[in-house]
Amino acid sequence: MTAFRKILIQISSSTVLGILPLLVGIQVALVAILLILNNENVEPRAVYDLIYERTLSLPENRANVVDFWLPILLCCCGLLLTFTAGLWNIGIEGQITMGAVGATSIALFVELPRNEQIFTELFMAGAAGGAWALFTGVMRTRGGVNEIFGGVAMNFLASSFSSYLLVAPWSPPNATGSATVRFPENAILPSMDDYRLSPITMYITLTAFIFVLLTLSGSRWGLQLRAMGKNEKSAQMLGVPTERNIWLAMLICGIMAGLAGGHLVLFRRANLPANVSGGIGFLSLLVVLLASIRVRWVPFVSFAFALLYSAGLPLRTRLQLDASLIGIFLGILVFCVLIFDGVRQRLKERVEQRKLLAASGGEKSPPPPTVEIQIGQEASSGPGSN
Amino acid sequence: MDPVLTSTLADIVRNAAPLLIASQGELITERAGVVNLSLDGTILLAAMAAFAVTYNTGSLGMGIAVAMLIGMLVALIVISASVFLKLNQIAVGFVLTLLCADLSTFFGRKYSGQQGTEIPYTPIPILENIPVMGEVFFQHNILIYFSLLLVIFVWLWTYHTRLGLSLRGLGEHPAAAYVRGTRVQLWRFVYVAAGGALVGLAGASYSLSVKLGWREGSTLGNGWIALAIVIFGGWRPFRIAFGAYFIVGLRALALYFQQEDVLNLPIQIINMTPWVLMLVTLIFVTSGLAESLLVLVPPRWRPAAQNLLRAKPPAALGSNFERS
Repeated sequence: MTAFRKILIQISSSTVLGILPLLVGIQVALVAILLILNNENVEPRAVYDLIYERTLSLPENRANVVDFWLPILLCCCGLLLTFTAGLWNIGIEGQITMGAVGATSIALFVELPRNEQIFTELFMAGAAGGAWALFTGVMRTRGGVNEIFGGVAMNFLASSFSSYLLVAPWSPPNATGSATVRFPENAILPSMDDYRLSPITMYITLTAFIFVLLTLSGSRWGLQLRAMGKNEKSAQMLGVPTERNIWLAMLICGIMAGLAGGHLVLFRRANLPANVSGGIGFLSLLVVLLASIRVRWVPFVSFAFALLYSAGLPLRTRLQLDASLIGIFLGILVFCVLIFDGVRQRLKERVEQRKLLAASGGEKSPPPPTVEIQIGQEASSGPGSN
Repeated sequence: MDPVLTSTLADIVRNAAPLLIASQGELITERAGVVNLSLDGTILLAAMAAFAVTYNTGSLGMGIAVAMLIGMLVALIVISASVFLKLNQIAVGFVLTLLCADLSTFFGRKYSGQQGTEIPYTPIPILENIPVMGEVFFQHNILIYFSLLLVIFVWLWTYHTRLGLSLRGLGEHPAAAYVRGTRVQLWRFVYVAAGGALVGLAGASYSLSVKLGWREGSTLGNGWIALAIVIFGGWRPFRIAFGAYFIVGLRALALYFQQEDVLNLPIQIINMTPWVLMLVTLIFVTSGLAESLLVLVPPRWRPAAQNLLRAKPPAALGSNFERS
């Protein structure tokens, strides 16, 4: 056995070095971005300085990053439940949009005392997002429509519906259909005194995170979701109410996404714009993939994503670089982490096979059976891999 | 026939070509048991690359070749990650679709709004003069003819050749296909590469023909629609073709309604119709509702009706195969 192979085996068998794929992923993504920047004749230092200046240098910039982070983290909390259950909730973009639409419907047309107003708006946001997600779940269990296709369809429907509202019934006079009028002050979420942050959204997000953490780490329901993620049919045979759990996981995820959409319109924008979700649902999917459904990693990974994304606009205005550069960096990063995590897993498997072979006195272990795993129930980096 | 209707039908055939090519490509991929979810991003990147290469070199052939190469490469990444690393095909495809979309935006910004070269119009002699049919089917460019022939070719290949039988075996029961002597992994690579190349070609047909030129996100959403059409079409070439024409036909109808002020419905609501109809049809077919209504069909027509309504995905779709 060569020294190189020995090193590889040591790396693969070390649990401490489980973080290696992430480190390698960051390295590869950085090299790729450096190559792109070199091609564009832009100094990497200038990009770094700009990102730092616009995100971490001043308290208001840091508050802006946190404000961007909260809805992403909220969506991630919901996605942790669906991913664990083996569900690809790609329809999360639509759920955010419908949450924003639900909140807007109250903000524009209902006048209540401040507290009741805010509560009703958030309730409608959660209800609209939840209903949208639940419908996808029901289509999956009762209609036999795969949640990926159902989610994509529901995204398009939500986007078209919100565009319709903006050009027709909710369009301000003489407007182009790009946004509604600004909401009355009474309808906007209160802000902290020192920084532009919504304490209500912070409480909601914290509650959601603790709920998901406790659910997935120490509850019977969490265990059921894990079993479903590993193998839905087997879980069903063992008495897990899979249909009810799918509905519940989708509903809770939809409520969280809807509340994130509510935050976007009730605090950040104070109106309903076109394309309100702005891709944060897909971004959250990337976060959960990168964190490999590990609940404790999600806040940190989502914060890093929020930090980079909130620097996107200045890149365009100050360095004439497109904001998509950040998307490329994150895409390469997640892709590399997936790949290197796969490499690590395979190496680990080999080591275990060798150990098994050695323990059986050199006799060949029985050949691995043909793997027949349904979509969303496989692998180290998708739903159900936890 | 009304000349407006004839020209609308010709437009539908033209505009549906990229969707048709992409969905047939995905059909081949999925029939081999692999899900390539990267379609939306791949089409965007391929469309941008085809336009950029043609713009810089003046060669349409080169632009198309590069687009196909990109489609093939992305598809090969998906299957390689699945075969060698046992990664989830959906996860890899999803990340790639976002990455490719961002790459197309970043590298395509120089070409946004530039004047490009179009694939030349090549009516087919004699056939172009057939009344109605000539204008609808035979007065286009070569990519449109290719899209029409592709459906027939995929159908013949899948259902009337030995290799097509083994293709279906790869997606339905790879272990059985292996026992019968099919080199499962090799053929999966071949079919996925071919399907990916077709997806790349669909991208090229957007920027060089149907939506001439390049703009950020110009084909956004069409990859998802192609994926949806494959499911809607029940993994069958002709039903998929029907789905593509149906979607594009509804879009054309929406435009017509808007121009003529017929229904007085906003375009956004009409745009929702294809998705609603697809969902309803899919629920009707896959929930067993359609099967339960088959009792109303005369017994001698029942097997044919049952076959027509069948919408089951390949049994081993998205699964990994290991030689035992």
